Amino acid sequence: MLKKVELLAPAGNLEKAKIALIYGADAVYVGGKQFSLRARASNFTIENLKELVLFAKKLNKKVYVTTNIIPHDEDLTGLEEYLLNLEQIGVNAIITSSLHIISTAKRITKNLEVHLSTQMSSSNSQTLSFYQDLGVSRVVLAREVSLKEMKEISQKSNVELEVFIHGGMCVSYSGKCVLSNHLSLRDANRGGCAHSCRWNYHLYQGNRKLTKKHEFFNMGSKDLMALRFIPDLIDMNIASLKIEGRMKSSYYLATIVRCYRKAIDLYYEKGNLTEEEIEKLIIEINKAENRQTSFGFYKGKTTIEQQLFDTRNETPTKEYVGHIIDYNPETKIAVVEQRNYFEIGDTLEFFGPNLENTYLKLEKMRDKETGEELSVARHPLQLILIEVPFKVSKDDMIRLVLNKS
Amino acid sequence: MPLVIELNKISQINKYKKENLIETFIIGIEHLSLDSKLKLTIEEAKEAIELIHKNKKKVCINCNRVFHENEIQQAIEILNNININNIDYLMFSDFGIYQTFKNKVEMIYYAPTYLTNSKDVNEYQKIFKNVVISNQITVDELKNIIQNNKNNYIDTFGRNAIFYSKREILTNYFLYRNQKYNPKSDNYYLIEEYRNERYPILEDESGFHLYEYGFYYLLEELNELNINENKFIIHTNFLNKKESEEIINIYLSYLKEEKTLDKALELLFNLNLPIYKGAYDLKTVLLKSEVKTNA
Repeated sequence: MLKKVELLAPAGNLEKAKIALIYGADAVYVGGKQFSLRARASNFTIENLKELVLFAKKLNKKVYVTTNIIPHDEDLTGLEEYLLNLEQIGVNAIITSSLHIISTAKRITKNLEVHLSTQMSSSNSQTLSFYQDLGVSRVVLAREVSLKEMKEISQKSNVELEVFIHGGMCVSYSGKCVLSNHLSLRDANRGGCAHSCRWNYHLYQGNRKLTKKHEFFNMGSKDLMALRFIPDLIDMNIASLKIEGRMKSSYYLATIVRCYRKAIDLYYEKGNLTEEEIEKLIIEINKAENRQTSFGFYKGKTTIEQQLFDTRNETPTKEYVGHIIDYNPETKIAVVEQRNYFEIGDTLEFFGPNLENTYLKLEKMRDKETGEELSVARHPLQLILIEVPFKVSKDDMIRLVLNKS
Repeated sequence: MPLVIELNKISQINKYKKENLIETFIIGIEHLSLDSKLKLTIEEAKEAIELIHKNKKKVCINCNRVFHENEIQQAIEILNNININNIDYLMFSDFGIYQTFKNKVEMIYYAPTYLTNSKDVNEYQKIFKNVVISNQITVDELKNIIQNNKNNYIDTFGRNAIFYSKREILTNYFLYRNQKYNPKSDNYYLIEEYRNERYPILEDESGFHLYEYGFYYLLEELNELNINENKFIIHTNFLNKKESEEIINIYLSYLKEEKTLDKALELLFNLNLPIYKGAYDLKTVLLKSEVKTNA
């Protein structure tokens, strides 16, 4: 029997990693304090990793650690000790782009799998055979690979394939871009990328300026959303479906992971996904997604539909207002940690890994500390007591239902 | 014989046939090469190879693109048609090309953003034997790598791609704006909203490429880069014939000690080209707070 596809989620810190696993990810990938891209993520100490691995193992799930910078000499200090530590605490795999890190891991560890990062932009089956010869057990394909190409590669390769299904996309081939280095001195391939591809540019032909006033030449791309292609990816035996976003919030992760989890489970259960099911899940995804999305390279060559023009479209979502800390089924009182403003009269939407979206019109709430009745929950992280007539659990989340005029 | 020259014109094969310092010519091939000013058809390549060998020089084919599953087969056919047995080196960045031709021709791994430390260079040399050290490191880092590894290729002059996208960003821009686009033009530039530097664009079947605003060079550093152990590449993309030959001549005359360093530098900077150290003088950081600004 073929192995079930893995849903792989990112996490920038311990809380996010736990949320991703609780909400249905089969594995999480995280960065340590060394060797990892995303210098601005909180990243994990060895102690954090230990705690995460224990947590994951209890759920029979996995932890991968990124060691995916393209290192300079100064970055490689302590590599062997670090890899041995990762193996010792039970991390399942490293994700790397350095041949030296690959060969070191293969030489000194026994149980640490080596996955090849998308930073190497692998886009054909012959490349995969090169890495298989080195002992790499999984390759994260370049985001530029189409669905058709994925199928061809999967048919010709013995190494496991991992593909991106959701999140931000580099516009350049990963690992081959140093635009940020040159424009901002921030090293794109060591975790400092300034996303210079999303800045505004003027286009010239010779000395003639072609961009008009208030119009710019933009290179930014829409984020990827490949929900529709889940059945195809499962059918071609892709090993792992990867969500991008180590900088994203717990709320974002919970929403996105939950939706893809549902899509995967529905497909395994029924053998198909209806258009209605897909649309419903897309609506749900869009409650947390604050950027325009598209299918990237899944259908082949990209067009203007996959690019962003004239706009910075990142509008903060205000819908996420709280999450459940505790619930007493006898008194039906939930302890809610506030994450955004909400008030009496609002309609709240509760959701969780085991809770379908359920609605409650808020009529009463009290501050947990003072017991005082509240008309608004205005303070971040304020603990609020709310009567919830249906069962909720720790880590379930709450959205504000916005009125769309 | 440390110089490897990327051909800008076929006539340069004869022009430099007596220059002992030039060991190898790099030739670009249609559908295979990024960056190369000169991109030959299969028949032109065969003729060029024959002429280069007749002049007792070596040939390196530039095959440094990323190839997707349906593209690599075309690349393999082209290289087989040229007759891979008849070339001395194949310069590649895609490991699919390596896997296919590894037992048939000597390979040079060329990936300017990747070979950034001594240990990776060492590992890649064990497999490929010939590698080009990254040109996206500082000179000090380059010197350190050379101390720890021998027989390296070093990018000595050129204009590097700093961004390589499979998307047709330029074509799409004109489509979106409903403006006329000349795909044959090589005269498109970008200038960032708050900066002044001009970044050249090239867009072709392999995608959209953005280049650094100037030509990087190493000259005064050459004496510290183990001239006799390493090979030095001069790229001639974005140069016309006259410019490329002036630059090649500057390096030749300096290495043959016909011109002093000061004279060679003077000639280089008199060329009216944007010349700078590039990333060889670019100490990068990770966080915005670490970027020093000149007040």
